[in-house]
Amino acid sequence: MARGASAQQVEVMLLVETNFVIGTIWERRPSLVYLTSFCQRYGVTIVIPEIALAEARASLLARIDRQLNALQHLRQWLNDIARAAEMVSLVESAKQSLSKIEAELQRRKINAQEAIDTFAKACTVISLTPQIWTKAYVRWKANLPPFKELDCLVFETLMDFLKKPKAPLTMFLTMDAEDFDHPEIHEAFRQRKALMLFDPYDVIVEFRKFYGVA
Amino acid sequence: MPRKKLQVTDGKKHETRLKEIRQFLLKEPEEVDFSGDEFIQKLLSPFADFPVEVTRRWAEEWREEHRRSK
Repeated sequence: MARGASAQQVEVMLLVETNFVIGTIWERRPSLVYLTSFCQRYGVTIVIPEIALAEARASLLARIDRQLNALQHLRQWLNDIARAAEMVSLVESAKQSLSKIEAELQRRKINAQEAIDTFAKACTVISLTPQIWTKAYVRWKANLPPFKELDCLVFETLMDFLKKPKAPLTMFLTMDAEDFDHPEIHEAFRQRKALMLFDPYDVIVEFRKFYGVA
Repeated sequence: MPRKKLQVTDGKKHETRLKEIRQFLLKEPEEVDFSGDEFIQKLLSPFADFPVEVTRRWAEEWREEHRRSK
Protein backbone atom coordinates (compact mmCIF):
# COMPACT_ATOMS: atom_id res chain seq x y z
CA MET A 1 0.00 0.00 0.00
CA ALA A 2 1.06 3.52 -0.70
CA ARG A 3 -0.03 4.89 2.68
CA GLY A 4 3.33 4.32 4.34
CA ALA A 5 5.45 5.63 1.51
CA SER A 6 7.01 9.09 1.57
CA ALA A 7 6.20 11.62 -1.14
CA GLN A 8 9.72 11.39 -2.58
CA GLN A 9 9.86 7.62 -2.79
CA VAL A 10 9.00 6.06 -6.15
CA GLU A 11 5.88 4.08 -5.35
CA VAL A 12 4.89 2.81 -8.74
CA MET A 13 6.66 2.38 -12.03
CA LEU A 14 5.04 1.66 -15.35
CA LEU A 15 7.27 0.24 -18.05
CA VAL A 16 5.96 0.57 -21.59
CA GLU A 17 6.98 -0.10 -25.18
CA THR A 18 6.17 1.24 -28.66
CA ASN A 19 2.54 0.08 -28.64
CA PHE A 20 1.81 2.36 -25.68
CA VAL A 21 2.86 5.45 -27.65
CA ILE A 22 1.11 4.37 -30.86
CA GLY A 23 -2.00 3.38 -28.90
CA THR A 24 -2.14 6.74 -27.14
CA ILE A 25 -1.23 9.17 -29.94
CA TRP A 26 -2.75 7.40 -32.96
CA GLU A 27 -5.46 5.16 -31.58
CA ARG A 28 -6.52 7.46 -28.71
CA ARG A 29 -7.43 4.35 -26.73
CA PRO A 30 -9.32 5.62 -23.66
CA SER A 31 -7.52 3.31 -21.22
CA LEU A 32 -4.09 4.40 -22.48
CA VAL A 33 -4.96 8.09 -22.47
CA TYR A 34 -6.27 7.55 -18.92
CA LEU A 35 -3.02 5.86 -17.81
CA THR A 36 -0.84 8.51 -19.47
CA SER A 37 -2.81 11.30 -17.83
CA PHE A 38 -2.84 9.54 -14.45
CA CYS A 39 0.93 9.00 -14.46
CA GLN A 40 1.64 12.58 -15.53
CA ARG A 41 -0.76 14.14 -12.99
CA TYR A 42 0.41 12.14 -9.99
CA GLY A 43 4.09 11.69 -10.71
CA VAL A 44 3.96 7.98 -11.50
CA THR A 45 7.10 7.15 -13.44
CA ILE A 46 6.63 5.90 -16.99
CA VAL A 47 9.71 4.10 -18.22
CA ILE A 48 10.39 3.45 -21.90
CA PRO A 49 13.42 1.94 -23.62
CA GLU A 50 15.16 4.40 -25.94
CA ILE A 51 14.77 1.92 -28.81
CA ALA A 52 10.98 1.76 -28.34
CA LEU A 53 10.71 5.54 -28.24
CA ALA A 54 12.78 5.79 -31.42
CA GLU A 55 10.57 3.21 -33.13
CA ALA A 56 7.42 5.11 -32.12
CA ARG A 57 8.89 8.41 -33.34
CA ALA A 58 9.93 6.89 -36.67
CA SER A 59 6.53 5.23 -37.19
CA LEU A 60 4.50 8.35 -36.46
CA LEU A 61 6.68 10.54 -38.68
CA ALA A 62 6.87 7.93 -41.47
CA ARG A 63 3.13 8.29 -42.10
CA ILE A 64 3.52 12.05 -42.71
CA ASP A 65 6.65 11.45 -44.80
CA ARG A 66 4.68 9.04 -46.99
CA GLN A 67 2.05 11.72 -47.53
CA LEU A 68 4.76 14.24 -48.42
CA ASN A 69 6.32 11.76 -50.87
CA ALA A 70 2.94 11.22 -52.49
CA LEU A 71 2.71 14.98 -53.05
CA GLN A 72 6.05 14.87 -54.86
CA HIS A 73 4.74 12.13 -57.15
CA LEU A 74 1.67 14.22 -57.86
CA ARG A 75 3.89 17.17 -58.85
CA GLN A 76 5.81 14.97 -61.27
CA TRP A 77 2.57 13.86 -62.91
CA LEU A 78 1.35 17.44 -63.04
CA ASN A 79 4.51 18.42 -64.93
CA ASP A 80 3.71 15.66 -67.40
CA ILE A 81 0.13 16.87 -67.80
CA ALA A 82 1.26 20.52 -68.20
CA ARG A 83 2.95 19.69 -71.50
CA ALA A 84 -0.46 20.17 -73.05
CA ALA A 85 -0.78 23.93 -73.58
CA GLU A 86 -4.40 24.10 -72.49
CA MET A 87 -3.61 22.38 -69.18
CA VAL A 88 -0.92 24.81 -67.99
CA SER A 89 -3.13 27.16 -66.02
CA LEU A 90 -5.08 24.28 -64.41
CA VAL A 91 -1.83 22.58 -63.40
CA GLU A 92 -0.50 25.86 -61.94
CA SER A 93 -3.60 26.19 -59.81
CA ALA A 94 -3.31 22.56 -58.64
CA LYS A 95 0.36 23.10 -57.76
CA GLN A 96 -0.53 26.10 -55.61
CA SER A 97 -2.98 23.93 -53.68
CA LEU A 98 -0.33 21.22 -53.32
CA SER A 99 2.07 23.80 -51.88
CA LYS A 100 -0.49 24.74 -49.25
CA ILE A 101 -1.03 21.07 -48.36
CA GLU A 102 2.73 20.52 -48.17
CA ALA A 103 3.16 23.48 -45.81
CA GLU A 104 0.39 22.10 -43.59
CA LEU A 105 1.94 18.62 -43.56
CA GLN A 106 5.32 20.09 -42.61
CA ARG A 107 3.63 21.95 -39.75
CA ARG A 108 1.97 18.73 -38.60
CA LYS A 109 5.26 16.88 -38.78
CA ILE A 110 6.80 19.42 -36.40
CA ASN A 111 3.74 19.04 -34.13
CA ALA A 112 4.17 15.26 -34.12
CA GLN A 113 7.84 15.62 -33.21
CA GLU A 114 6.91 17.99 -30.40
CA ALA A 115 4.25 15.55 -29.14
CA ILE A 116 6.81 12.74 -28.95
CA ASP A 117 9.28 15.08 -27.23
CA THR A 118 6.61 16.04 -24.70
CA PHE A 119 5.93 12.37 -24.01
CA ALA A 120 9.65 11.61 -23.71
CA LYS A 121 10.17 14.46 -21.22
CA ALA A 122 7.48 12.96 -19.00
CA CYS A 123 9.21 9.56 -19.04
CA THR A 124 12.38 7.94 -17.85
CA VAL A 125 14.06 6.90 -21.10
CA ILE A 126 16.42 3.93 -20.72
CA SER A 127 19.45 4.17 -22.96
CA LEU A 128 20.57 1.39 -25.23
CA THR A 129 24.14 0.49 -24.27
CA PRO A 130 26.56 -1.72 -26.22
CA GLN A 131 26.23 -4.37 -23.48
CA ILE A 132 22.45 -4.45 -23.82
CA TRP A 133 22.73 -4.52 -27.60
CA THR A 134 25.11 -7.51 -27.41
CA LYS A 135 22.78 -9.45 -25.08
CA ALA A 136 19.83 -8.69 -27.34
CA TYR A 137 21.75 -9.77 -30.42
CA VAL A 138 22.68 -13.10 -28.79
CA ARG A 139 19.06 -13.62 -27.70
CA TRP A 140 17.79 -12.83 -31.19
CA LYS A 141 20.33 -15.09 -32.90
CA ALA A 142 19.51 -17.92 -30.47
CA ASN A 143 15.85 -17.57 -31.46
CA LEU A 144 14.74 -16.99 -27.87
CA PRO A 145 11.54 -15.10 -26.98
CA PRO A 146 10.51 -12.41 -27.76
CA PHE A 147 12.18 -13.54 -31.04
CA LYS A 148 12.15 -10.32 -33.09
CA GLU A 149 15.27 -8.17 -33.08
CA LEU A 150 13.55 -4.99 -31.89
CA ASP A 151 11.62 -6.84 -29.20
CA CYS A 152 14.82 -8.50 -27.96
CA LEU A 153 16.34 -5.02 -27.65
CA VAL A 154 13.32 -3.82 -25.67
CA PHE A 155 13.37 -6.91 -23.44
CA GLU A 156 17.11 -6.78 -22.64
CA THR A 157 16.89 -3.03 -21.97
CA LEU A 158 14.13 -3.66 -19.44
CA MET A 159 15.97 -6.58 -17.85
CA ASP A 160 19.05 -4.43 -17.40
CA PHE A 161 16.99 -1.59 -15.93
CA LEU A 162 15.24 -3.92 -13.48
CA LYS A 163 18.44 -5.50 -12.16
CA LYS A 164 17.83 -3.68 -8.87
CA PRO A 165 14.30 -3.36 -7.41
CA LYS A 166 12.89 0.01 -8.44
CA ALA A 167 9.51 0.44 -6.79
CA PRO A 168 7.05 -1.48 -4.60
CA LEU A 169 4.83 -1.86 -7.67
CA THR A 170 6.54 -2.26 -11.02
CA MET A 171 4.54 -3.20 -14.09
CA PHE A 172 5.45 -3.78 -17.70
CA LEU A 173 2.55 -3.13 -20.05
CA THR A 174 2.84 -4.53 -23.55
CA MET A 175 0.04 -5.05 -26.05
CA ASP A 176 2.30 -7.40 -27.99
CA ALA A 177 1.21 -10.71 -26.46
CA GLU A 178 2.21 -12.56 -29.62
CA ASP A 179 5.89 -11.85 -28.99
CA PHE A 180 6.07 -11.39 -25.21
CA ASP A 181 3.58 -13.88 -23.76
CA HIS A 182 6.05 -16.72 -23.20
CA PRO A 183 6.85 -18.55 -19.93
CA GLU A 184 10.54 -17.51 -20.06
CA ILE A 185 9.61 -13.84 -20.34
CA HIS A 186 7.06 -14.08 -17.51
CA GLU A 187 9.66 -15.78 -15.32
CA ALA A 188 12.28 -13.12 -16.09
CA PHE A 189 9.93 -10.34 -14.99
CA ARG A 190 8.78 -12.35 -11.97
CA GLN A 191 12.40 -12.74 -10.83
CA ARG A 192 12.75 -8.95 -11.05
CA LYS A 193 9.56 -8.47 -9.01
CA ALA A 194 7.72 -6.90 -11.91
CA LEU A 195 4.32 -7.75 -13.33
CA MET A 196 3.91 -8.19 -17.07
CA LEU A 197 0.44 -7.24 -18.26
CA PHE A 198 -1.12 -7.21 -21.73
CA ASP A 199 -4.30 -5.23 -21.18
CA PRO A 200 -4.17 -1.54 -20.16
CA TYR A 201 -7.27 -2.05 -18.04
CA ASP A 202 -5.39 -4.62 -15.95
CA VAL A 203 -2.85 -1.89 -15.16
CA ILE A 204 -5.68 0.37 -13.98
CA VAL A 205 -6.92 -2.50 -11.77
CA GLU A 206 -3.42 -2.90 -10.26
CA PHE A 207 -3.25 0.86 -9.61
CA ARG A 208 -6.62 0.67 -7.86
CA LYS A 209 -5.46 -2.20 -5.66
CA PHE A 210 -2.21 -0.44 -4.81
CA TYR A 211 -3.84 2.86 -3.88
CA GLY A 212 -6.62 1.17 -1.92
CA VAL A 213 -9.52 1.81 -4.27
CA ALA A 214 -12.01 -1.04 -4.14
CA MET B 1 9.66 22.27 16.92
CA PRO B 2 9.98 23.37 13.29
CA ARG B 3 10.99 19.88 12.20
CA LYS B 4 7.85 18.32 13.66
CA LYS B 5 5.69 20.95 11.94
CA LEU B 6 7.30 20.12 8.56
CA GLN B 7 6.52 16.44 9.02
CA VAL B 8 2.87 17.20 9.70
CA THR B 9 2.68 19.34 6.54
CA ASP B 10 4.29 16.57 4.46
CA GLY B 11 1.83 14.08 5.88
CA LYS B 12 -1.10 16.32 4.96
CA LYS B 13 0.23 16.82 1.45
CA HIS B 14 0.66 13.08 1.12
CA GLU B 15 -2.88 12.43 2.30
CA THR B 16 -4.26 15.07 -0.09
CA ARG B 17 -2.37 13.51 -2.98
CA LEU B 18 -3.63 10.04 -2.08
CA LYS B 19 -7.18 11.36 -1.91
CA GLU B 20 -6.85 12.92 -5.38
CA ILE B 21 -5.32 9.72 -6.76
CA ARG B 22 -8.20 7.66 -5.38
CA GLN B 23 -10.78 10.07 -6.76
CA PHE B 24 -9.19 9.79 -10.20
CA LEU B 25 -8.97 5.99 -10.03
CA LEU B 26 -12.62 5.69 -9.04
CA LYS B 27 -13.54 6.93 -12.51
CA GLU B 28 -13.58 4.70 -15.57
CA PRO B 29 -11.45 5.80 -18.57
CA GLU B 30 -14.57 6.81 -20.55
CA GLU B 31 -15.78 9.00 -17.68
CA VAL B 32 -12.75 11.32 -17.58
CA ASP B 33 -12.85 14.50 -19.63
CA PHE B 34 -9.38 15.14 -21.01
CA SER B 35 -10.30 18.24 -23.00
CA GLY B 36 -8.75 20.46 -20.30
CA ASP B 37 -5.66 18.27 -19.87
CA GLU B 38 -2.92 20.26 -21.63
CA PHE B 39 -0.45 17.39 -21.55
CA ILE B 40 -2.86 14.96 -23.21
CA GLN B 41 -4.02 17.55 -25.74
CA LYS B 42 -0.40 18.22 -26.71
CA LEU B 43 0.11 14.49 -27.36
CA LEU B 44 -3.09 14.07 -29.37
CA SER B 45 -3.06 17.34 -31.32
CA PRO B 46 -0.99 16.29 -34.39
CA PHE B 47 -3.58 13.68 -35.46
CA ALA B 48 -6.65 14.83 -33.51
CA ASP B 49 -8.64 15.98 -36.54
CA PHE B 50 -8.34 12.63 -38.33
CA PRO B 51 -11.28 10.30 -37.63
CA VAL B 52 -10.14 7.74 -35.06
CA GLU B 53 -11.03 4.89 -37.49
CA VAL B 54 -8.35 6.25 -39.84
CA THR B 55 -5.58 6.51 -37.26
CA ARG B 56 -6.52 3.08 -35.84
CA ARG B 57 -6.12 1.63 -39.34
CA TRP B 58 -2.65 3.23 -39.50
CA ALA B 59 -1.83 1.59 -36.16
CA GLU B 60 -3.02 -1.78 -37.47
CA GLU B 61 -0.88 -1.36 -40.59
CA TRP B 62 2.09 -0.58 -38.34
CA ARG B 63 1.38 -3.73 -36.26
CA GLU B 64 1.13 -5.83 -39.40
CA GLU B 65 4.55 -4.53 -40.50
CA HIS B 66 5.88 -5.40 -37.03
CA ARG B 67 4.44 -8.92 -37.28
CA ARG B 68 6.21 -9.45 -40.60
CA SER B 69 9.55 -8.18 -39.27
CA LYS B 70 12.25 -10.53 -38.01
